[in-house]
Amino acid sequence: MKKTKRVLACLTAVLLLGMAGCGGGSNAPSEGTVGGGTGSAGSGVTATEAPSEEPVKLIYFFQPPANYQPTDSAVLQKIRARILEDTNVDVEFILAPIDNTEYNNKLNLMLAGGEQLDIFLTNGWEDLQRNGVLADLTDVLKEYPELTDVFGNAMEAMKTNDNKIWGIPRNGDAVHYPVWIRKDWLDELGLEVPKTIDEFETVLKAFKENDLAGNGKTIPMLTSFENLPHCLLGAYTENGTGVYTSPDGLMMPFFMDPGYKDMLTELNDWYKDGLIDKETFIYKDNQRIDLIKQGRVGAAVLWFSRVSLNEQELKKLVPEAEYVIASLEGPKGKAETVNAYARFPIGISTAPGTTGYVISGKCKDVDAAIRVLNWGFTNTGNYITSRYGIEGEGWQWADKDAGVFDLLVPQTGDEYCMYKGLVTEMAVRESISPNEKHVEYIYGKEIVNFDRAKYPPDGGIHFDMKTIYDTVPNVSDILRIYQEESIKFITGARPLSEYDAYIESLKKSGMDQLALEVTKQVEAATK
Amino acid sequence: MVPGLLFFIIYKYIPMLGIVVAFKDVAPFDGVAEIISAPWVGFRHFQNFFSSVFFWEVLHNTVVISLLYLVLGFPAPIIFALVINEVTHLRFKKVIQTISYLPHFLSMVVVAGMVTNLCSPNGGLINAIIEFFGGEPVFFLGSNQHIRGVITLTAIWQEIGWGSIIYLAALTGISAELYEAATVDGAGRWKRLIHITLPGIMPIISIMFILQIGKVLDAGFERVLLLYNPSVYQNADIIDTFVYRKGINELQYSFSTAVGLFKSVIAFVLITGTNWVTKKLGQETLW
Amino acid sequence: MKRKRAVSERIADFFIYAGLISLALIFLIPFWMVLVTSVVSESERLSRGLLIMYPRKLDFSAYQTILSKNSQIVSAYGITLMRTVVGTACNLLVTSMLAYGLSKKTLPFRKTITLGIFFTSIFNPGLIPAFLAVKYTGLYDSFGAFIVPNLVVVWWMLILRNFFMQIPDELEEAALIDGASPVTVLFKIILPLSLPSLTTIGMFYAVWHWNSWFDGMIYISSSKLFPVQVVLKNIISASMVENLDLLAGSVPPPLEAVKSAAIMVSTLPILAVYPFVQKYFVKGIMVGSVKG
Repeated sequence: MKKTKRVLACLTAVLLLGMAGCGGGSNAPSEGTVGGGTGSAGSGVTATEAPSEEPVKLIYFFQPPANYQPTDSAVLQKIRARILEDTNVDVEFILAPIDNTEYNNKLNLMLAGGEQLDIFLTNGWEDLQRNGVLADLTDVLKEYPELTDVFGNAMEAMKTNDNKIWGIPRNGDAVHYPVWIRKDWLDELGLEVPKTIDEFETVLKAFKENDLAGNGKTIPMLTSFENLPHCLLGAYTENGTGVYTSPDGLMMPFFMDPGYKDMLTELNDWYKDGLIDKETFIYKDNQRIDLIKQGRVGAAVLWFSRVSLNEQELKKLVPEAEYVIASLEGPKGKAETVNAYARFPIGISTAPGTTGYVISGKCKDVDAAIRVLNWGFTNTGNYITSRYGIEGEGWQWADKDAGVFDLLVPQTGDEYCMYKGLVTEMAVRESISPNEKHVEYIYGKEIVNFDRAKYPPDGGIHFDMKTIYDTVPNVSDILRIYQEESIKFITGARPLSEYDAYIESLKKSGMDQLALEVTKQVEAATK
Repeated sequence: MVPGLLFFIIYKYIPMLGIVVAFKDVAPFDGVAEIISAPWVGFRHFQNFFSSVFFWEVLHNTVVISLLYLVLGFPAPIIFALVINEVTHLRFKKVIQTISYLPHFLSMVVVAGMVTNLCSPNGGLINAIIEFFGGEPVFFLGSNQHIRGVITLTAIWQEIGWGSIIYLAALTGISAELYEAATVDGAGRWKRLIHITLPGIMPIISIMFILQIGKVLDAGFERVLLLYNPSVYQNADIIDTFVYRKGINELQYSFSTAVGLFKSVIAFVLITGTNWVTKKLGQETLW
Repeated sequence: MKRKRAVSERIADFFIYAGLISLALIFLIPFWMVLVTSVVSESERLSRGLLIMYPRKLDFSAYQTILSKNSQIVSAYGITLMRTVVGTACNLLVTSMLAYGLSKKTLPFRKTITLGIFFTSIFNPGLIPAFLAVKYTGLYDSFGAFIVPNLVVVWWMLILRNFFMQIPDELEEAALIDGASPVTVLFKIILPLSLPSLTTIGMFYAVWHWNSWFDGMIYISSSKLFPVQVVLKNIISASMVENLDLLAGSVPPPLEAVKSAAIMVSTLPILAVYPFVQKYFVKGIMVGSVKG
C-alpha cells in the first residue's frame, strides 16, 4: 500500500507541476534568460526619457552557433535593457536547436502551432513567403532608408518578382569556394602558386611524390562532391555552376553541359594517379576538418571556412603551415563560380540568398521588429554590443574608423545578435582573433573578390521551385543519378564510355520537362 | 485501465486524423486551419513515390537490410542471453552484462564515426589486419558489396547486449526445480537447454519476433544515413533515406506522410500475417 | 551442492568464458576510446592519429567547458532526473494497469481494444499532429510534456501483458474467493510476482526518459526545462551533417574532446544504476506460491 500512496503522490505532483508549467509558458517575462534570472525589463535601465508607450514585446528564435557557450545572464540583461532603451522593444529569445535540420523542424512546428515567433533566421524564405507566413516589409522599410542602404544590392536577394521585400538578407553575392594550397609546401618544393589547371596538376603530383606530410600520409587533394563543381567546373564549362544553355536555347542544370564530362575525365585521371584522396567522397565534414588540422592536406578544394576556421589549430602542430588561395583557370576560363544570392538551386547545395532574417506575418508590430534590426545593422557599435555587452565592459574600440575592436571578455553566446551576415562581418573585426585566416577572408573582403570567379547567368533570378517540383515530380531521382553516377565516373567504378547512357537516364527521369520549365522561368524573369 | 485508454484516445487517435495530410498538399509549417483548407490531391504523392526510378531498388534495399538483421541480428541477443545464463560466477555475469549495454548508449553519430575510422582503407584497423595477413585493403564503406554487411554488423554490435535484457528477465522466470529434476534424470547441459530453457522463453521470443517483423520497412534510418554515401546508394539507400533527401530538397511534408502511411500499411499486414501464422503454430501471439 | 563437472562441461565453460571476455572487449574498447578522447587535448589527439588508447597527458578542459557554471547542464540534469523518476513511475503505473486489464480473458471487447491499441503503434501520422495534440491539451512547454504524450509504449505494454497472462489463474481466484478486490489482487499479488518483468520494463522506460531528447526539443521552449540530452545533443550533432553550413554563422565546431565529454556525461549515470536494479531479478519466485 505504501507503494500506491507514493505513486499517487507522484501523480499529484505531476499534475501540479504540469499546471504550473502551463502557466509559466514561453511568454512569461522572467523566462528566456539562461539560469532563470529575475530579469524584467525594468532592471538596470536608467532611461534618459521615460518611454512614452508600453514597450513592445517580441520574440527572437535564436539558433546558437556550433560552439555555443551560454552568455552570463547579467550581461544578457544589460544587452536586453540597452535594446529596450534604444528602440522601446523588449526582445526575448527562445533557444533553438543548433543542427539545421532540427532547427527547421522546430521552426515549422512552432509556426504550425501558432506560437509567437517574431524574428527568426531561415534558409528558405521563399517557401515561407509563398505560404503566407511572412510579413511584407516593403512599406515599413521605406521608413528606414539607412537599413536598405547598408545592404545595397544584396537586398535583391529578399525580393519577390513583384519587387516586394520579405526579409533582411544574411548574404549577398560571394565567392565561397577557393582552392586552398599549402604555401609552405610550395616553398619547400620551389614551386609557384599554380595559375592554371595544368600547373595545379603538376603541383599535386609534386605533393604526392615528395610526401611532405611524412609516412605516406600526404593527401595531395581533398574535396567533397558538393563543393567540387563550384571550385573547379568553370575551367571546363562556359558558365561554371550556372545554368547551361543548350544549342537549341533550352536552359538546364549545369551538369548537362558537355564540358562537365571533361571535368569528370580529368578528375578520374587524378583519382587513378592517387592525387585525390580515395575516401574523399565518403568523409563527413568533421573528418575533413581533422585531416586539414593534422597537416595532411596539400590542396583543399572546399568551402572556404573548412580551412579558414582551422588553420590556427594546424599551426599549433606545424607552425610554418599556411594556406593561400590559388585562382585557377582552364580552357574555358576561371575555375570558380560566384555563389550568387539567388540562382537555380538544383545541384547546388547552398544558395546563400535564401537565408535571411524574416518577420512573422503574425507579428503584432512589424515596425518595432524592423526598429530592432535597424538598431544593430546600421550601427557597428550596436552590433558589437549585441554580441559582447556594453561598450567599455565587454569590448572597446581599438580603431573605430577601421572597425577594429578589442574583446575584453571570452567568447559569448551571441544570443541577442540578430545581425549576423556579410554586411556586419565585413565591417568590424576583433583586434586579435582566434581565427585570423577567417577574419582576413571576410573582413579583408576576399569573400567579395569577384575577379576570382565567374558569375552565373542565372544569378539574381528567384525561381518558383514549387512549380518545378509539381511539373517534374522526380527531381530527387535526377539529383541522385547525378550524384551517384558522377562519383562513379570519377572513381572509375563506371567507365566514361557510358556517359551517354547516363545522360539518357537523366532524361528518362524528367530532365526534358525540367529544362522546359527552367527556360520558361528564366525568360519570364529576364523580360 | 481507464487512464491508459484515455491516453490513447487523446494522444494517438485524434492525431491520426492528421493522416489526411498524405492526401493533400501541405507544407511543413501549416497549422490546423491550413491543413483543413489545403488542396486535396488524392493519391498523387503515392504515385509520385511509386513512379520513381528508384522505387523498387529502395524497397528492395530496405527489405534486404531488414531481413539480414532478422536472420543474423534477431537470434544474437537470444544466444547471448543463453550463454550468459550459463555463467555461475555472479560478479563476472554482472560485469559482462553492464559492459554489453555500452554500445547501445553510444550515440549513433559516435558509432558511425568509429566505424568509418575502423573501415578506412587508409590506415583503419580492419584493413591493417587484412594487410598484415597479406591481403589487399578493402574499401568497405565505398563498396556496394560490403556496405550492407557493415550496416548489419554495426546494428548487431549495438543491440546485442541491450536486446538480451528482455530474454534474461524471461530466463529468471523458469523455475529452478525444473532444472534440478532434469539433472537428476541425467540430462546434460545441452539437453537442459533444448528441453527446458528454450521452451521456457519461447513465448517472449515469439512476441519479439512478431514485433521485429513489423519493423521490416524501417531498417534503421539514422544508422544508414550516417554510414551511407552516394557510392553505395545502390545497395544502401532505403525508403527512409530516400524520403529524407526528398524532404530536405523539396520541403515535401505531405510526401513523407504519404510514404509513412504506405510503410504502416505494409507493416500492419505483415504483423497480422505473422501473428496468424504464429497462432497456428501454437505459440504466444499479440492477440 | 557440488556436482562433479564432466570434462566436456569444463571445456564448454572455457569457451563460454573466453567468448564472453572477447565480446566484452569488443563492446568496451570503443567506449573506452571515447573516454580517452574526452581527456586529451586537441593537439595531442591530432598528432597521435585520432584513435588513441591511452592519454599521454590528461587534459580536463573539455569537462570544464561542459560543466562550467554558466552552462545549463546542472539544471538540465535536475530536469532529466526528475522526469526519469516521476515519468517512469507514471509509465509503470498506467502501463501495468492497462496490461493487467488486457490480460484478463474475460474482458469484453478484449481483442478489439488490443487491436485498436496496437494499431496506433503502427500508424504514425507524423510530427505535426502529435505536436498539435500536445499544444491543444495545454502541455506545451511544461513538465507534463515529458510524461503524458508518451505515457504508454504499446510494445512494452504487450510484453507486460503476456507476462501477466503466464501467472496461473488459480492464484487470483484464490485471492478473490478470500474477498480481495481486483485492485488488491493487482497490487498485492500480480505485481510482486512480475517483479523481473516490471523491473525490466521499468528500466526500459527509465532509459528512454534519460536518453530522450526529441520530445524535449520539440515540446519545450523555455531553456529552464531542457533535459540534459537536448543540451548535450546540441554539442554533439553540430558538425554531423555533410556540408549544411549553419544558418547562424561559421564558427569552428566543438572539439572532439568536448563531444566525447558530453557523451560521457550523459551516459555514465544511467549505467551506474543498473547494478542496483539487478537485485530484483530473483530466480524462482514463482515456485513457492502455487503450491502454497
